[in-house]
Amino acid sequence: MSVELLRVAKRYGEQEVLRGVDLRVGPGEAVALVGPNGAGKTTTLRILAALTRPTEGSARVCGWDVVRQADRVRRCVGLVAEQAGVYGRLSALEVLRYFGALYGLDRREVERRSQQLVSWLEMHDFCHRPASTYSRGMQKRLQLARALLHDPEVVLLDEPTSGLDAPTARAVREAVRTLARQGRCVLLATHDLLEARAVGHRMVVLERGTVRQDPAALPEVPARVP
Amino acid sequence: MRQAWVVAAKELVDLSRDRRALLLGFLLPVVAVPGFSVLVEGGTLDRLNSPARVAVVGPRSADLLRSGQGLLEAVAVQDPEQALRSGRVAAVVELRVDADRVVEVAVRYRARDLQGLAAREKVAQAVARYSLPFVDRTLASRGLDREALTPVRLRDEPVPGGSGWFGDLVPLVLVVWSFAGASLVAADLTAGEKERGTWDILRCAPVRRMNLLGGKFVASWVAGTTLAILAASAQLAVVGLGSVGALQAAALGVAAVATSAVAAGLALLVGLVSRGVREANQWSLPVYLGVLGAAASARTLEGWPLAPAFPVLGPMLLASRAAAGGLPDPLEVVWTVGSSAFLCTGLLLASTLLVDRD
Repeated sequence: MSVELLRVAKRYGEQEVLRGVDLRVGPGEAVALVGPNGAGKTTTLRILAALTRPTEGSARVCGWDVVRQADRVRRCVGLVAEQAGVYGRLSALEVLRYFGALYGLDRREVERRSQQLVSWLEMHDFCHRPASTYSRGMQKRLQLARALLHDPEVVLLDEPTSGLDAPTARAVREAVRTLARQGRCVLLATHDLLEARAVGHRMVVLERGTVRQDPAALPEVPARVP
Repeated sequence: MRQAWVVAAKELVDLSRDRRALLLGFLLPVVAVPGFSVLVEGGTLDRLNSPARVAVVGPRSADLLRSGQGLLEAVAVQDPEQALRSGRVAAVVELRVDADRVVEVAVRYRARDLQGLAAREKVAQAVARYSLPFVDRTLASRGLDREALTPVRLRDEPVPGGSGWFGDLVPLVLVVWSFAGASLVAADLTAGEKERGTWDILRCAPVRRMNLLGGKFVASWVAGTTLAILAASAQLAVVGLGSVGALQAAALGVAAVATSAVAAGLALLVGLVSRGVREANQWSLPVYLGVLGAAASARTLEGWPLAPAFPVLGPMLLASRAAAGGLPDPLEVVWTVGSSAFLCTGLLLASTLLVDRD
């Protein structure tokens, strides 16, 4: 399994954010975590990205424990966070070089991967400009490129299309589907059921920190959106 | 270790592209602060050199004022005490007359007012001038002259040099700018990153926390040291570089490096416990006050043997001696660098524990 959560609970003081969450996602599988705001979707992704520790239970990514082997987990995870910002005075290519160096990739490999990602995510027009001049869609593409730079086995996306216009959102969804086709495990958090259906092979519904096992109870949505 | 340099290089490149920070970082220490110093010093010297404004009470005041020409300026006031309290006059001079001449002059001035102290000196000079004819007359009646009473003569021979009031401020300028530069940058690189949403992305990367903070520390340290050296150099250029040689300049550099290192370490810690730049600045205020307190108490604690072992205080003492043209004591340098390095390491280690705090 690429991602495995076993009875994971997370508390911030008195507030219980996750209560005994179980989840298993395999390679090549795209799973949409859906639920209203405050359901615990972002916390689940943060635990899997080794950004926060579970209070109870265990979480493993690519077989590595997120608490004891956090450094290993970070090497096999790519995260696109919803509230992530950009380094405004650096260009997209400089950001990719910076993160490439942090991930320990050699310079030639970083250049090769950067060119691939720039081409795939259609970033040619703006990749040399400072990121402070980017639109929301451009910033999202840069985040996706940065998350995929080290060729991670697991990709975590938190509301990847929120605030994007329709064509950009469509492009991002297509990119996510491609990632799963490439054999990566993709976990996508969204409160948009249309998007969940469009992108995910499977849906996991989170509500008040627990997994609701009955996605059929969700309101009817079209089977597929572009 | 390579990761730390990667982080430091990125932060320094990022900082070098921040035009507003560069402009302020250059203009304030290099132009504004020395310019302000020149204006304040000029104004203060002007006030001290011009006649003291005094209120004279009692008969025969015209005689005393004639003797104090160029030293005293009589101001007509209705209530001399009120005029003294309000600062309209620097001193109140009260004359007591006996046998048609002044026999006692009482000077009232505000004890902690520089102009009051200067007025008291000027009144004393005026009284000496006024007394001289009487002294001469008394001496002559006994067959003596003034020379007989002054077997030793004092001759003034001023030479150029000395750093004046604002030369004394060089160490303070150094410490304050070290802290300002290092802590503003460190706060931006920690609390600022949290605010901008780039902190989590950075934490997601497999970077050893010590390397991550080490890189940010180096960038803040370089910024603080650069700013401090710029500010101190500008201040020295204004007051005259005469007394500062290569060794003194090196000592000033060591003081800047040591202070900036402590400032960067402290500000990283503060930035990590804060959720944003504003909160970091709020936490920094008491830290700043503590630093200023330590810097201001340097002169008082100068003779204390353990003083060089205290961060901020040690560099301040080292810089004070260097700015006054003194040679640095090697042991003092070792203590200053050692204590700052020790504190800095402790702060960095404590900060690494905070990086992954929920």
